[in-house]
Amino acid sequence: MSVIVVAKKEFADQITSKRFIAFLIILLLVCIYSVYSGFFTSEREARNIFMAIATFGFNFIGSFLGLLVGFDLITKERESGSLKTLLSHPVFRDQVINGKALGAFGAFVIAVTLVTIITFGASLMKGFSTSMEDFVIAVKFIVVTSVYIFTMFSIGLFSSVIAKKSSTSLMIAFGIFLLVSFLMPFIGIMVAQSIVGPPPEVHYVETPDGSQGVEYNRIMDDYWERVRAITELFELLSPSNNYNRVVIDFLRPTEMYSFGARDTTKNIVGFILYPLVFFVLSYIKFLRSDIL
Amino acid sequence: MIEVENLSKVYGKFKALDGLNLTIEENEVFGFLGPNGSGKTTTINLLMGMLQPTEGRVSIAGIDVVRHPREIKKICGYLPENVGFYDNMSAKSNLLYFSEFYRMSKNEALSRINELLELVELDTDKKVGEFSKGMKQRLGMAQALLNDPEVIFLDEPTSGLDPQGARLFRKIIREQKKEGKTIFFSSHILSEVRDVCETVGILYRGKLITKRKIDEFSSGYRILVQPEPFDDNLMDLLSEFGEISMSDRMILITSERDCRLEVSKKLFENGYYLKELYIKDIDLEEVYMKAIGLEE
Repeated sequence: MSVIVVAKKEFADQITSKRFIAFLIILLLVCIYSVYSGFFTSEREARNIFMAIATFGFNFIGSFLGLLVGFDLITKERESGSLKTLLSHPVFRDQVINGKALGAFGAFVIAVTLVTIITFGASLMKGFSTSMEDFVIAVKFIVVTSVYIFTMFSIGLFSSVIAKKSSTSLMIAFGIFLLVSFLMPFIGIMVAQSIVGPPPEVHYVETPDGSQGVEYNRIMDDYWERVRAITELFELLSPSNNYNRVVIDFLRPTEMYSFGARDTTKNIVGFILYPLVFFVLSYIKFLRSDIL
Repeated sequence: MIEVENLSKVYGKFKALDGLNLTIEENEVFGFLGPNGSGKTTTINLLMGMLQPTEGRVSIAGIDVVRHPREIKKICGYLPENVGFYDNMSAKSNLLYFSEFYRMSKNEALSRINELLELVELDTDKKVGEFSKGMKQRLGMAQALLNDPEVIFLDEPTSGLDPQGARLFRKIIREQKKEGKTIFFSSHILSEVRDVCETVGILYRGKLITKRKIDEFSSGYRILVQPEPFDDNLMDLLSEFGEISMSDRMILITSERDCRLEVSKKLFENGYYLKELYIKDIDLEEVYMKAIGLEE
């Protein structure tokens, strides 16, 4: 199984690389600090820890881990000539890219599991209460977070496949990352404002039966609903937003929102589609490109 | 062993290879010559199944390269130009990794790797990142022979090697030839090609302009004579043996037969002494430049 041979090597390369170890240490420090600092963890429930480490650790530093593991995965081998040497042996290109992705995903699972266990252990020492349900949540959290880091990895991998040099690939990867993670929500707001326009002016007149007030509320609700529909559509294109929503969904489905529970199905779909789309694009491009 | 029919590779508007037809027999050492950018590496990559041809067909040992690239790689070895490895691993670890793509047990692989590292005289536990160009080239030769291939493609194999390394490579090529391997050898160093190859092909601007057995490049015999004294009468005296040209107190006779005995007799009878008399080997550089020049 050539794909396993490549995956084993990639996994070993990743978990022993200085870059990976440095990120793992930073993640650990940030996660432990976020638990001890008390933000998100004022209630001493173990599940709050996941919220803290998702927000402070993985959402930001995890993104960089994924991007930086992926951005030179192909370009580095192309630049050093090892890809050509590798492909002169009986291994298909799809086995190379699948093996690399599998190995990297394995490394992410190990990193997330380690950070989660250590942070969890640290919080127990601080007197957080825990239950069996928290272990189920921990498993869900590890899977979802690993997929999130893999999403960022697939963006890095895509840049690595389309770029000729690692430096160019790094710029492309960060460009896509900034666009989808930070700019997309703002673009959503701008698009919503240009489509929906300014809030309607309703002259509020108090009547004895209150009917004018009801009409005012209906018009404003309708307006904001349209704005929200457009901004949410753009937010679906932000992996970090989808990750937050999915994590919040299984951590505290209703309590987080004073408006009531939100349907996160679209976020879950976006969350799964993102890495798939970027990985498939990388796969097709890698198979079709002239490596030599 | 290697059959190439009308092979072409086009990148946009640029024809890297233009209708190449080539046959290389089993156990032949084929020298592939051509200036930079003539399409030598492209040809090797197409023959190894690492590039898709725009047109044409290639088969090695009866296996279609485009349809069965993996099968081709099982019976071929390839030393690319500017060969690259995983810098964070040792020579042995690199070879062990590549061996995992073949049906070899770990013990079998380790024994083969030790044998190959000894063959290329590379005895070090250093990581490849610390290797010199020459050491990488030696490791490249070892990885090309890892699967004991039937056909070996060598793209500029001695570039970056010191004279000792280059001599070792020529020795390895001769040994592989003795073992019955077919070798496709691309090089810029004409003396090296002449030294190890039986057949030579010259590629120019993506087209094969000539392919012959190395001894077929010279028609007849080129006999060099250095008589003493050296005067103008010599031209008439030796003209019966063939075409004569004189330069720098040397006479070059281009003859259809080996007439050295008759030449020495004639000169001696006419009061001349011989400082030098020998058959000049074919000058591949001359052939190469002539072929390229004709094309231009």
